[in-house]
Amino acid sequence: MALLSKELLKELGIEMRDQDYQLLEEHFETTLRTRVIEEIVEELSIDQARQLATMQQSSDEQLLNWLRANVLNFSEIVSDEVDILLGELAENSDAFNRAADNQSD
Amino acid sequence: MNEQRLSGSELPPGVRPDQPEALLNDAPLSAIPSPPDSLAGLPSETPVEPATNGTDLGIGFDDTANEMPADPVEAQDLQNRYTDAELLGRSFPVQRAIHELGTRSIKVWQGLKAKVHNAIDTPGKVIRQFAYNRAKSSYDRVEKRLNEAHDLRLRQRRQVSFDRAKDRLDSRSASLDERVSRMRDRTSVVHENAENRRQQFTEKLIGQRQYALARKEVRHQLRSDGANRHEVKAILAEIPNDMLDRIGKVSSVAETSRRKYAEVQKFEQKATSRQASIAEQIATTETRAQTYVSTINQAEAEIKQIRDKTMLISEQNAQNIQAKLADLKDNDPEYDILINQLQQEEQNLATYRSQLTYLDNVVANNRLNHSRAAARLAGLHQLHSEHQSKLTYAKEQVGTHKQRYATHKSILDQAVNSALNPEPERNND
Repeated sequence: MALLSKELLKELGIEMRDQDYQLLEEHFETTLRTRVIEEIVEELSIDQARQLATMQQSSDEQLLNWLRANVLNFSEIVSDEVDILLGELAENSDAFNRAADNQSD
Repeated sequence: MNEQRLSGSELPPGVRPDQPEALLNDAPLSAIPSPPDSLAGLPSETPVEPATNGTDLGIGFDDTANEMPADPVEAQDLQNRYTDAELLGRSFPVQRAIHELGTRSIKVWQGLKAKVHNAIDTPGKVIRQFAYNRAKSSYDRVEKRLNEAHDLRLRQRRQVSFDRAKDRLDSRSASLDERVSRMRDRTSVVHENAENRRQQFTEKLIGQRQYALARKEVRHQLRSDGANRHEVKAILAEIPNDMLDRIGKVSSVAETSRRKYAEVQKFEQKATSRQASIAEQIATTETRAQTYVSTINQAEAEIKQIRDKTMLISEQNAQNIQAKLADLKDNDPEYDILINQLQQEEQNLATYRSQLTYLDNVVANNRLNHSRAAARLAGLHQLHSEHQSKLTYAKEQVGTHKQRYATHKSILDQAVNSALNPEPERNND
């Protein structure tokens, strides 16, 4: 299930075309990923970072297990970053609609 | 290190992410110059219309989808799935899906309710419309007859009928208006409720964001102080909600300031880069203009040399040869030699004229290029001057927003510090 959905946007009063939605969804998930990674990097020691760098060939599951074991408050980090980003989306819902209106003019 | 699953019971009491209203007690932000938004007085959870309205109509609408499941095990499962959040985005949409489903159900239910009520009202409206049309028709007829009466007594008689028709029309018009208005209100209430829910959902997400920001700030501080995950969790649970609320609000303001600061920094970098580019173009154009001037000067010197010296000498030579030839007879052995010399001088003169033409063109072209370069330089200097104003403004903005961010960050640090280092309770004894 995708983090962002058109239904969620509708609930926030944001109406947009499919192509705009796809761009927003992509931007949303990229931003979220970047922020989560930044937070994770902050949590790691140098040794852990080195160890993580050697795991480039590892599977997603192996990486996830490693993160769970090595990153303090991993689940809270993810959950909080999701909340922060969705809150930003909600805060800017009017701006989204104004931008959509300008495009349709 | 083994990952421990969080359960709802391990979170701070009354501080669950799905209950932001519990965190949003109004706390003054007096230390902040001008907070960009105010979240004071957030409404409570999305209201659910009483199901009795639907059952009154004999319609079995289920509007319980917006609430947590009745089964406590299932409810706990949902909460655990949310708070565990082991995989990015896996659990959060569960909560959101429940909310979306509930909100959609309410909207559909209310829309249907309005339609049903309106459908019930429709026969009444049709009857009232028919009665109104009849009254109007009667009124028009009586009014026409009244206007046609010229005798006073006849007019008085018809006036009585007209007054009766008018009263009837007013009464039926009011009845029809009341019915139509009632039907319209039902539909508009659905839209208003949808807008209210949108507003509440927006505020809920904003509230959750502030709570998450607060947690993040506290976590950062504790991490830099060397706290482990259990200590972080325990300390977060100890911090009162109003403190977390305040940290979240201040953090939101600081985050806005930080972004604005980053934005103006980026703008200033662009302005600096653009100004450097303009300066470089000015230097290049000036060099080019100097080259044109140098070429013009060189060509003019050559023209002067050819015109004032070389050609004069050649013309003088040609005149001398012609003078000698005039004194010689055709069969003189020197005659042919002088003829050859004369031809050579004339050829030289033709070459010099050709060179002059070429050099005149060189001068003209370079003058043209020079005037273009001068015009471009004037434009570039103008642009440079205008950009200097923008650059100065950008630098001022960077200074202003740097200071503002520093202030907000300092307030945020103080708020976090106050939460982590509460003043010990004073003993009044």
